[in-house]
Amino acid sequence: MTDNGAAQGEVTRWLIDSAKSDKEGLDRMLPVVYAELHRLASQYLTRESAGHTLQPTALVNEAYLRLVDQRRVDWRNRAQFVALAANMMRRILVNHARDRVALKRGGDAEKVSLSLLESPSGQPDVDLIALEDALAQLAALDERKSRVVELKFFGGLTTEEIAEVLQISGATVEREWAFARAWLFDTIEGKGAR
Amino acid sequence: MSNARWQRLQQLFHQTLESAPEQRTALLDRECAHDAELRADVERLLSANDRAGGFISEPVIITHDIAFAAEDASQLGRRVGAYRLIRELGRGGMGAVYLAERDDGAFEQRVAIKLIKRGMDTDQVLSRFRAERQILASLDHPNIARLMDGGTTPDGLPYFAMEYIEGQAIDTFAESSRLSVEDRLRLFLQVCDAVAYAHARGVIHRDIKPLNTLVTAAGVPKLLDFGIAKVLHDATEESTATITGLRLLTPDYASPEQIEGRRATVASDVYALGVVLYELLTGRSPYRVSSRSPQEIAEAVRTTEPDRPSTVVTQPAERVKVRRSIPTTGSRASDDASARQLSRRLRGDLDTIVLTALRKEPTRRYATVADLTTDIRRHLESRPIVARREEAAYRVGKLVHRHRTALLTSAAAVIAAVATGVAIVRSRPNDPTLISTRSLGLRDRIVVADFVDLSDDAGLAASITEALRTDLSQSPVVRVMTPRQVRSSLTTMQQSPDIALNDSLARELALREGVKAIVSGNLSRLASSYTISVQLVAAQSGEALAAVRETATDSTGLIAAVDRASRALRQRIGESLRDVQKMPSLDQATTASLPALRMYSEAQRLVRAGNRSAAVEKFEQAIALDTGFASAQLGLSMAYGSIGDAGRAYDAAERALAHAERLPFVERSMLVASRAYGAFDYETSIRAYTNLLARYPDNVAALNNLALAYRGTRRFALAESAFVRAIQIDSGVANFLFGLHSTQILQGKFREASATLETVKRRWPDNPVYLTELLQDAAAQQDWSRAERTARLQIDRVGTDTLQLVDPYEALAQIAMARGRLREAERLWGTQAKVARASGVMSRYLFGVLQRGFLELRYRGDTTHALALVDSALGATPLDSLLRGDRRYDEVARFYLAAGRPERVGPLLVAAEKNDSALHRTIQGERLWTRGLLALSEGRATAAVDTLQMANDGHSCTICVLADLGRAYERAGRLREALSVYERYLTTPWLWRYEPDAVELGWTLQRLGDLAEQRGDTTRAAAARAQLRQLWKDADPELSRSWRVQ
Repeated sequence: MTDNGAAQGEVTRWLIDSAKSDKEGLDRMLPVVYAELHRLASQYLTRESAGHTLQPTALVNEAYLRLVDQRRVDWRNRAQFVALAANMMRRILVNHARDRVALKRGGDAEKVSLSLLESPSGQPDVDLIALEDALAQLAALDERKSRVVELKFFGGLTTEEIAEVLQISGATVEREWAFARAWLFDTIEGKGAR
Repeated sequence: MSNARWQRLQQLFHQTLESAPEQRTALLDRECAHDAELRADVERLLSANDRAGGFISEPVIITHDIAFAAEDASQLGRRVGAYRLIRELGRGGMGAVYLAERDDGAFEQRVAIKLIKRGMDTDQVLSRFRAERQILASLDHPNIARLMDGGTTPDGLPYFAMEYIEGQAIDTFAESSRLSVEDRLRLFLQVCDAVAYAHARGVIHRDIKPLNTLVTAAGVPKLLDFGIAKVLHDATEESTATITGLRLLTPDYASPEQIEGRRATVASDVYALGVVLYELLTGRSPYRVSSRSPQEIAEAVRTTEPDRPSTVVTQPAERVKVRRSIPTTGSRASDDASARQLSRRLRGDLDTIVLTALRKEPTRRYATVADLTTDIRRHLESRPIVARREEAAYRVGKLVHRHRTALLTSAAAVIAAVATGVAIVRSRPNDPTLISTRSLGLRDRIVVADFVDLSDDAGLAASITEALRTDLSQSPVVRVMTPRQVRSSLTTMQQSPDIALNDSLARELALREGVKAIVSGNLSRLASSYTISVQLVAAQSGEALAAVRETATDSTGLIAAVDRASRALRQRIGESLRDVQKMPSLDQATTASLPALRMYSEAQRLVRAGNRSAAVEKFEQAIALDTGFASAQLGLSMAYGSIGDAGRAYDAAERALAHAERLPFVERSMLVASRAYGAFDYETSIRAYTNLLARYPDNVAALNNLALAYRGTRRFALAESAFVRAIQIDSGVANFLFGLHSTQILQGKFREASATLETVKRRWPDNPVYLTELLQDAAAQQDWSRAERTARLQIDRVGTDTLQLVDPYEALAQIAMARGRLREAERLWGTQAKVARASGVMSRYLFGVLQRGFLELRYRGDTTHALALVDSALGATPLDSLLRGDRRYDEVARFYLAAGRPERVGPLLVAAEKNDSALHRTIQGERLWTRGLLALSEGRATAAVDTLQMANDGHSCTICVLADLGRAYERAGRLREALSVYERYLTTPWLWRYEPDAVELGWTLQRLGDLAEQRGDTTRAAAARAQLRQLWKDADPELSRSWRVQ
């Protein structure tokens, strides 16, 4: 991991600087994080075999372990890192999904690319692209709710951590999540709605 | 939608969810009286909420198959290496296989060429292959298809050339040749021999399946693809590190651990052979899945238990996955007579053999293929097999880091579900709750009496009581007495603790304990329907405070009925509906299967009666009936923990966590917290326990574990106060006092510590842990004679259980070593080795060997002998053969460094890193310690000092790193600091002192004396030397010869 040493220092420094006043640091750091996430994700996604399960949170965590010197950060810093990474992860995955769908047109019998796995209760899969569209709609109505979903689903953050990142109470996080989830489900299912 | 409307929508959504179902309509009528559209929106969202199920609750995405590119059709006729492709033989997950022949006309040779498809990392694959090639090419066995060559095509696709085998897959062959059971077994044995041959050469197949096991027309089985799966796997592993869920295997035959992404081992091959055998004997797949989706199969492999072969052959074909016809008759349909005959044939030994190979935990399968073949051969010779006998008494091994960490296994095993509460109470004006009318106080204690069963079904009442108690225990507004507390009370009342707790006895107990109310219930039955009545009765007056009644139309609805009754009762007491609804329902929190619930409650009963191994059996049975039964997994984990099998306890806890949504809230939080603790992530566990205690401040289990976590991070004062609080709340748990004792020792409060021990001795004179604590007490104060006496006392008390002899013999060996009695130490290490091996705790055995090695190194200066001892032991018992949590990579590495073999450290560190994961993270400090020593051996003294400083700070052992740190300071020329570090080593309290002292004490005293003298501090020097003389006054003569002792 020595080649990551410099990157690690950068990211760690930015995270523990609580004032976050170093805007240039942020600009230097973001591409590093993005590149790492992208690298991890594409390594994963190019292995083409049926029935993979992919946990975006695992990738985010992986990136975190590689990029951050954990001896110097605490759980709050980690939550901030994950908050950034979750957003990037979402973009990477959605882009991939869209690319594959594009390839599909004109091509042969290539099946649907990414979908969502239900916890084993036999519910139907949901398309990642459909989720993304619904999430975008939700964001137009209520930015914070879509952020909560993003942090939870792509980042795997706990209620407490989300509360920390968004600077709201845990109870509020729970309420936002409950409502957002129902709304998304309804939107994707109905495909109609506001 | 306008913002105002959006807000209103949310408001209504939450409001409706919070109110009781029967009041929703009224609420909506009221609020949406003039706005039908709004109402429609709310109702749609509510409906969505109900139906959403697991929607996005798990952050998991699945990738579907991107099918093999059509380009490969054009491969035919092309040249690959020295061969030309003729036709395609088949294709699989990794690529396609072609028949090819040598192109240069030199001689006729047909090979099978496996072309690896795009996307696999070529460079990696090839470099791995080259590394493996020697070994793979050397596999020369009549039942193994030879791997001949490999390389890359001009356009960059890797390929492998193998001996071409024409034949049928083994299961097809068996069917078309109509082989009998005996014939199939003999055929299978040949396959096993081939696998065993390869294992002996260090090659694991990793992908055994019928398609890889061809049988030629002459009836000779040939195993294909040996090593290829490994090469590919290793290649991908290197480039993708620890990404979860990478699957290149056929899930049908992959072992549970491979599916979870863990490394394949000999045991994985055993498993795959088990699947093949299962199919050979039954014509069916071990796991039934409704769809063929790989992830369903993977899930089934990981969590469901296969039916016994003898059972599955009699099941109708529609219900199971039939692959082939059953043996002996060749009829495909389940012809009753022949099916029954086969079932009889398979019942017993063959069932056992197959299921043993198919165990989920690798360590519970046949350890080697040879063991499997031995049992099969025995069966064929009508001799008794080995497997069944071992099944009854699991080999348990003890987790070992005890000496290095502050993990008191006994204390840490207290993860009991003690529920207490923080109140969130609302009083509803029209429907006063018991708390609002003060009939019951907030967090008052209640006790649940045993259900009276008017339905004549013995185990049912017990199960219902258990279920009800579980649910009520989740309530934050009352505290339910735990079964342990009840038993303890009964004992005080001169009653048998196992006695049935009927209403009058419960009331008596309640009055005695100051418990406000009892929960009394009965279960009655009419035809197939059941009625459950539950009452809350004031202990003193006998007045009924609340009563609920629920019915179930048949037994399958019973658990749901108990759930409803409990919730109704909780609301009557004063809990808000919303809080009640937040918790999982009973069938989720326990199980929906009544038989499983029976097993579970029986298991709990056995745990309380102290019969832990029987409890383990029962928990397993409950889990077999409901594989997602997280509470049973948790119970299993605790049972394993209390018999000392921390490895299995950990695995079971992991399985419980995998179904966390089915754990009651408190248990789930505790589990997450204790899992962090078990992974040595003290900070996370401290946070988690603190959070839990914020809601449930009287949860003594959380307090205990929080204290242990504080202790692990050396916040001794905080640990002490947590223990004290726990004792104040519940003075009946010996473990808390043991915890307090050790914390006092660690702060040097020896007098208080002795007083604590006295208390323990008075109240629990027969508790075996008392002697252990006494031993630590003596060791911490370096009172070696007392320590020795205590250890010998322990040995006398133990009797025949070898496992419990390991600790005391180890202690004696360490003490002897510290005192320079080398020959005695050798003898004692010999005994320790014997008992450790006899009990199967190989990790402890290896630890003993390492210490023995240090004896040679430090006291005799005999590096050669030291290395010989350690190498030989590691050769026979490699670290990889141990459970993951037991692999002492760092300790072995440090030994090699001390023995002047730094080149061996690199691979060990690599292996250690791989072994670590978020779950098995090494205790803080261990890795740094090793790295620090490595730096020291490379002459980088300053770096060594810094690293070892950090190692010491992060290590739970207060003194273990100090001796090496002192050496590092010396090497860096910082003698003053070295001196003060040595002082610290001698004076800082630590519990298991004899361990580092065995190796370092004499040496440190020596150095201290020398350094003090150099600095002109003759008093100090003299004192140190006097201490050394005292320590070694009975040392072996050879010692004084080789060391300067004045």
